Amino acid sequence: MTTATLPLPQYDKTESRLTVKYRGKKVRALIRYLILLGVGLLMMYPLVWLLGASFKTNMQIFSEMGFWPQQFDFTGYIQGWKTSSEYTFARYFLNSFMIIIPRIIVTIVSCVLVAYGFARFDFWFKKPLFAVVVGSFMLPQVVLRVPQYLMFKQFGWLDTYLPFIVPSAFAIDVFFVFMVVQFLRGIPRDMEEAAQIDGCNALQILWYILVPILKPAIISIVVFQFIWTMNDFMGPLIYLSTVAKYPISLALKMSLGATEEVRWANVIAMSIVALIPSLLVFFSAQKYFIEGIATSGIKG
Amino acid sequence: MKTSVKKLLVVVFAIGFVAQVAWAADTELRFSWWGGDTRHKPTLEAIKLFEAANPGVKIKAEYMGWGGYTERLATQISGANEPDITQINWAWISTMFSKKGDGFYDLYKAKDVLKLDEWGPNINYGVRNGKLNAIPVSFTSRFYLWQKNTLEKVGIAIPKNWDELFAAGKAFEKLGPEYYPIDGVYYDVFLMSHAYLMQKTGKQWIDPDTDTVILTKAEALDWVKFYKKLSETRAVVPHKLRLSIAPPEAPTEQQQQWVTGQWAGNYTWDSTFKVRMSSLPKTTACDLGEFLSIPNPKNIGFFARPTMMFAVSRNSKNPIIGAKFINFLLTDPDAVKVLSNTRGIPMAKSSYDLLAKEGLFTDLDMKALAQLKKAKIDPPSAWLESARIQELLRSIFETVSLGKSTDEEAVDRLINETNQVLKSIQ
Repeated sequence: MTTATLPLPQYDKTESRLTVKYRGKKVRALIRYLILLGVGLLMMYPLVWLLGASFKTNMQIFSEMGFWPQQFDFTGYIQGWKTSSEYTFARYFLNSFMIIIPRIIVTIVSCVLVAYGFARFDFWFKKPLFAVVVGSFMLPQVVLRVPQYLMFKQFGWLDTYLPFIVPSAFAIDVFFVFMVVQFLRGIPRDMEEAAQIDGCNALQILWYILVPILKPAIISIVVFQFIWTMNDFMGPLIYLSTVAKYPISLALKMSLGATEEVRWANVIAMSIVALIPSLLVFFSAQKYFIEGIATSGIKG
Repeated sequence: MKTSVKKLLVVVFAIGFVAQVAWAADTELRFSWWGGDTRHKPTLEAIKLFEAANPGVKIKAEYMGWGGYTERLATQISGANEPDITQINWAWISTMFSKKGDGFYDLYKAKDVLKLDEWGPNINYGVRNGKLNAIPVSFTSRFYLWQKNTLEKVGIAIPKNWDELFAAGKAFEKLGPEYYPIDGVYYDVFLMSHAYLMQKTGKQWIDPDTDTVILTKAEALDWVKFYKKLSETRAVVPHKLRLSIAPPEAPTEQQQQWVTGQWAGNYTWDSTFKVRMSSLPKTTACDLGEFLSIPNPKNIGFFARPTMMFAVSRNSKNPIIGAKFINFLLTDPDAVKVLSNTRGIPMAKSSYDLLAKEGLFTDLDMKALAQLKKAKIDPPSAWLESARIQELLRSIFETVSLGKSTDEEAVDRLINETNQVLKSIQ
């Protein structure tokens, strides 16, 4: 009797269909990523072009659209760092950080406290106060400039960094208050009630329970406040008059006189250098965003 | 602590305090200016020279780029906190800070430390209601700057009058649709047509004596038609085309067409010649053209005014020293040698002579000065440079260039709406 062998090709067909499907999926994914990469590069091209332009002469900057510079001339970086003022760019970087770091710290403390108050407590006058906060968010900055200037002049805070740091200590940055309030509204009160039963008071609940959960929001505050303060031009413009106290935003524009020849490679080189801290902060904070969301404190 | 020790400590602290106050006898004046890399270093050196010549006086330098300078100064003045000596624009005196003439310290009170004859009748640029608000530093006017290479390619000479300019427009077309004789920045084209208005009628849009518009409808219509003719005959880059390439305020030297010579000419301040030529390849030769005009003009139509001025704050605690400092910067030979032409060609006679002797004026500078000397200069109304009027003229002429308003509507706005705006802002 002859043994009938199972028709193996049947299994092969299934496998090959699977491999075809799998290969198809890979190809489609590849196409997707290529398109995303292409569009992303296109949108980022101006920034990429800046990098190339920091090595070019004026004539090349204004006539070419291509990225690759004809020569790798680092004088843009050297001269830009030295600047045409009495101080090097290192001084201006330091000044920027002297404004940013205290400001971030006080912003976090004040905004979290204020948001905690609005989100978790009911008190007399809560609704009108919240309306005032919303109203102040709507005010255009221009309206506040001169009155604030006059106020700080009376305090004697002109030409210091206090006009930047002290208002932030009083939760002037309403955007962050809103953000944390919304974040808190999404957190169920179970753990706080448990902690209350265990004997925590309001501040202890905030510190031990809520702040770890609020990490993503706090990281967002750090990133946004860092970038906005780094880019703030009008504030330092009117409050600071000593060149030694200028932050980067003012120092970058110091070589742009109205009728004078500007060596654009210097300005562009320093702009790129000034971008680096913001980029570093943003990319290192991304990790914490994801961590914070993935390891949420509420279980079950 | 025993009473005697306490008393001793009090005495020691008191002496220390008084000594501190006595030590702080250095008078400090704040001096602010705007500029770029080439201006900051020489000015800091000149300040050091002044401090060396005047022991006990310290000048605190508060400098920055142009961007934001007006806003900062306006905020400081509104808070009575402006620097003792400031660099200001000529138009700011009558339109912003010193409408009644008392916005700045009256420098006539300091005439013992100021060599006022150096400026002669030009000192009047800084006078408002009989008070000397500021001293002019340098003078600038608009001229026609041409790239000779492109003109040679077309085979024509630099246009000497309007007809030759229109002919050039036609000739440039032969080189290609990208080629135009003059870069048509809308404000430049406005000023070119304004020069025509002055040449034809002898009047300016905003009359400097009355600060109102005294044009007749016919004169304004002629003006608007000439403005349109400049684009229609391809004499200037049409506004629509330029807008599609760059923002309206984009400087000429940053445009690719200027760098490659496709746009051959520019109607610009003589203080910006260097900037315009800074992005050109070394092989491009530039020259000054004749001031374009009609034959037998009523007024040649130069748009000329002080580039910048130095003023002393009315809240300054040391106005005489401030005036002395201004005099030093503008007339002292050492200071002038250091500052040279970083603020333009100086108006003070001795400084001008000194720099001329050192050979610091380029060929283009000399040609420009020669053109100015031949002409009778009528300063424009300061209101022309005020923000509201600039906005208004831009809106009127942009809509005309883009075909969004008829000539008659433009004429009506140029006369009636302008007078209304002027009345409301004065």
